[in-house]
Amino acid sequence: MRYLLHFLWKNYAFLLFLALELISFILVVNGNKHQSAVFSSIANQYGGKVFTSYSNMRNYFHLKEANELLSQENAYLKEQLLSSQFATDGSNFQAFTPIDTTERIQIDSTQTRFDFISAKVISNTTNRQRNYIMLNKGTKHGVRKNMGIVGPNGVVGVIFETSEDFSSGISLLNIKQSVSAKLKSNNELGSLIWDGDSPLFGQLDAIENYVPIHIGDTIITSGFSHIFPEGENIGIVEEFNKIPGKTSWNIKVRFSSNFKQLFWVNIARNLNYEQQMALEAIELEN
Amino acid sequence: MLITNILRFFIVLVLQLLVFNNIQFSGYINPFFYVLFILLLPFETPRWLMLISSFLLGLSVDIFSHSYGMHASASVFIAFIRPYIIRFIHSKKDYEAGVLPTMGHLGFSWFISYASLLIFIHHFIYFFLEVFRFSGFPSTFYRIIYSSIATIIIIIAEQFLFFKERK
Repeated sequence: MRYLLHFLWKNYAFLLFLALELISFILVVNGNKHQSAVFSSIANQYGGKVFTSYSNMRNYFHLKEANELLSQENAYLKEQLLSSQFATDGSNFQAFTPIDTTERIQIDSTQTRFDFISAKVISNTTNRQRNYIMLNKGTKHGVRKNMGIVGPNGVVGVIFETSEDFSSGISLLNIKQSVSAKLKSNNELGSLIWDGDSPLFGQLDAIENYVPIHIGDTIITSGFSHIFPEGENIGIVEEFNKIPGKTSWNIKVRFSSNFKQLFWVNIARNLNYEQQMALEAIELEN
Repeated sequence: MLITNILRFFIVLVLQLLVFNNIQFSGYINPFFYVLFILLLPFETPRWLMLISSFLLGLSVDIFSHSYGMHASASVFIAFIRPYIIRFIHSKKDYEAGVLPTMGHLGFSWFISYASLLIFIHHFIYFFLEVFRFSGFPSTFYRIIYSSIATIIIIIAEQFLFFKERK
């Protein structure tokens, strides 16, 4: 016993080293699951405060780019508004007959409905293997886990952690993240992943070989994950090739979002999320 | 001495989080300036204190950059091997009491070999923990090399800026 104690005392540095490394490894392994821990929620809240003041300063230097992006988005929204006005005009015309109105309401209530919470990016990285985005809206503003983050040009990430005033999202530029996506031209489903290499390109998986694709095809969200509304831009096909021995295409996707210049984003809130998840849970049980 | 080191702990942490974490140059260059704290701990620091303080520093960087234990692991590792590296690199001057492991005290060539070795090992561990696989080796390797070089340059520059010749 004495010798054991003596041995332990003599090698305490090594044992302490092993213990600390063990703690770190446990953190590395568990952290991958994006579990919300108490301490990271606190870090979210306090880190958020520091990063807010820092981003205020940083944004000042990027006013020009931010302005350009906002005006582009404005133009796009105006265009959207115009086309939606035509649509409502048409439906008003149909609404003269009472049967049509009830039908329209029924269709409305079965559709997934989203509204958007506008948020400011206060911290964002693109150079790591696991990149995260921190936003200045939290539970107080109605942000929950698993809401989609949509930038001015397309999908950016998914919220995974919230505190009272702030929230953290997993960027699409994260090797542990995948998004349900489809080809706009033929609605073929796949999943979008990132291999950790260039922040400009992602990969679209699980599109079978027999599906025709072309360079420049648009890739949009499928809406099946209940996180994003259907049809949000993700990117375009940059190149594709066959891998010998595999039945699916190897597709390289150019992201439509510029992850290095994100200042303002929208958080997509699915108003039927709980209902849909409850239904899916029942499906899984059976 | 103690107060200097405690202050340095917080200064490198803040600089890492607010300045160096935001250098997003080509995706390959991520300098980890905070290792300066571990490099400059005095020779006579007890080993337990060195290990624990490096762990806390790494963990703090982890918490605020969502990297979960990767910085902590790499920092604890270099804190552990630091004494062996110091024994491995011989100095013309003795490591006597009051001498600090800085460029001003032990000279440029000693400091650059000491810092480069520890920084390279630290970055090597960090970037491999980050990918968590050995495929895609070349791109991880470039990350390690470029980031190490960037960190070394920044730390050498810091040493020149706050150069203190030993009296």
